[in-house]
Amino acid sequence: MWWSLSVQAIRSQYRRTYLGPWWITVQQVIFVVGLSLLFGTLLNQDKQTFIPYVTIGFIAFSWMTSMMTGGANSIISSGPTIKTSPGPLSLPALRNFAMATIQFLHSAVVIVVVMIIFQVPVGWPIVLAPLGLLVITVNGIALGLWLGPLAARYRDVGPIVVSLSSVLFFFTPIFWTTDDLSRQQIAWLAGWNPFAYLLEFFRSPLLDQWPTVAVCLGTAGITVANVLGGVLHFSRTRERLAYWL
Amino acid sequence: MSDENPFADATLPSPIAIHLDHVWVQYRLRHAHHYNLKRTLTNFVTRKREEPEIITALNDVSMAIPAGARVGVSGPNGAGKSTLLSVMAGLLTPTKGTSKVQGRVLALLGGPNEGLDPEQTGRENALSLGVKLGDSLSDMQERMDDIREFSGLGARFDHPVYTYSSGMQVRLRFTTITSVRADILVVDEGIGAADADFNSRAEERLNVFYGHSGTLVLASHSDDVLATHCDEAMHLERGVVSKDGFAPWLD
Repeated sequence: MWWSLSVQAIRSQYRRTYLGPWWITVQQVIFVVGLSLLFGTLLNQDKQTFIPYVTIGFIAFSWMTSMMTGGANSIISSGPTIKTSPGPLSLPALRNFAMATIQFLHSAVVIVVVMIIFQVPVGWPIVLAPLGLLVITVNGIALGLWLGPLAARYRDVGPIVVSLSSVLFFFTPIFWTTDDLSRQQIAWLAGWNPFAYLLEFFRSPLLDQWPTVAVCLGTAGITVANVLGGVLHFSRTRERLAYWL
Repeated sequence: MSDENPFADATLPSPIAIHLDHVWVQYRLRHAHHYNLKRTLTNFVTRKREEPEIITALNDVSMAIPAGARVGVSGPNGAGKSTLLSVMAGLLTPTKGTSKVQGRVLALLGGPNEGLDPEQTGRENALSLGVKLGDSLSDMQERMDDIREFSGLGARFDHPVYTYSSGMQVRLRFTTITSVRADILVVDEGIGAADADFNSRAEERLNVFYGHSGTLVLASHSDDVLATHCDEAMHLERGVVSKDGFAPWLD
């Protein structure tokens, strides 16, 4: 039910447009093209591998940050509903995940097209791709579960998350690689960033590479911590939610 | 049926629909100065604590409303009527005490146009409003013809709601809400129905709607409204139920 409600919400959001949710996809394509041309040239990268790298990275990163900023806003924006009609309080988190994911599925078409155009080899690592999707899915839902109530209680959290997500864009390996960092001896810059691990775990298999052990361990640790935190925080705060709205 | 009811009591004529046991609801109000960063930091350094102001909306309220009762709640603004109804509908967990409800609750606590999406058609809005209020999708689909008919929207039923006049929006909302059925109906300030021509038919439909619910709790400022739809009433003031109502089941 929450999925179809979200589909309906997106439909009504774009009802009087021709392109609908594809507008975001168009915007992302323009962004990726610009980024690839600029940094591909500046950093002297091979276009054949750099463009797929940037495309997958940027689209997956957008999916994650939209779940993060949306998650922080999910409880506050569902305030009127929570106060007037019954229903599971986990609905806002699920709905936030669904809205971001529907958008991502539109943009995912671009990933496939780019992989075909640039003839990215597909080998055994691709079997990890569904797991990569699942990991981001689980983390996205969990993020909504703990960020939503936290941002409803402490109204500074929303703005913090928004500014954090724009800063994260530069500190996540999207238009540079972790190898670039190692060469400059600044690998720690990505080491603390949870998004970097999740992104690598999702992207590597699509580029015919196995994720490194560090990335796998990091991803597992982040996911466990995020899910535990989400479930615990949500169950501890659910009875107070209506008081904070 | 009543054998399974944990609240069934031989001394009472019917099973209990709503049971509130020493319910307190307290809101913690943080004023603007609680969010003053300078003051917060100074307080942190000087180890001074500033407690939020506490507003007691329900002050040790207990009651057992039998199934089938038609109860009115009166009282001035800020007496705690809406809070009481929110607790009964399970939307607000009491700060202290417990609230137990037997049966499916339909809570109508929102404002007049809350819940309508202007981009969607009347039909789509009616469907999702009904589902949001707790009815199943298939039940709502069966009622679409009735809603289209009674609201008098005709072909406009399949037009987007942003093209509706405010009267049409009220009619759509009213008709949809009154099509839903529940065991317990909790209503804040009645259900508005504008449009003079519509009014008399609406009155009739409202009576049927209230009549269909097993138990009714209706909060209103108007004694006339309470007298029309309720058999008994309680009076709420400053979060306390006073005995000058005429509800025999209050302790």
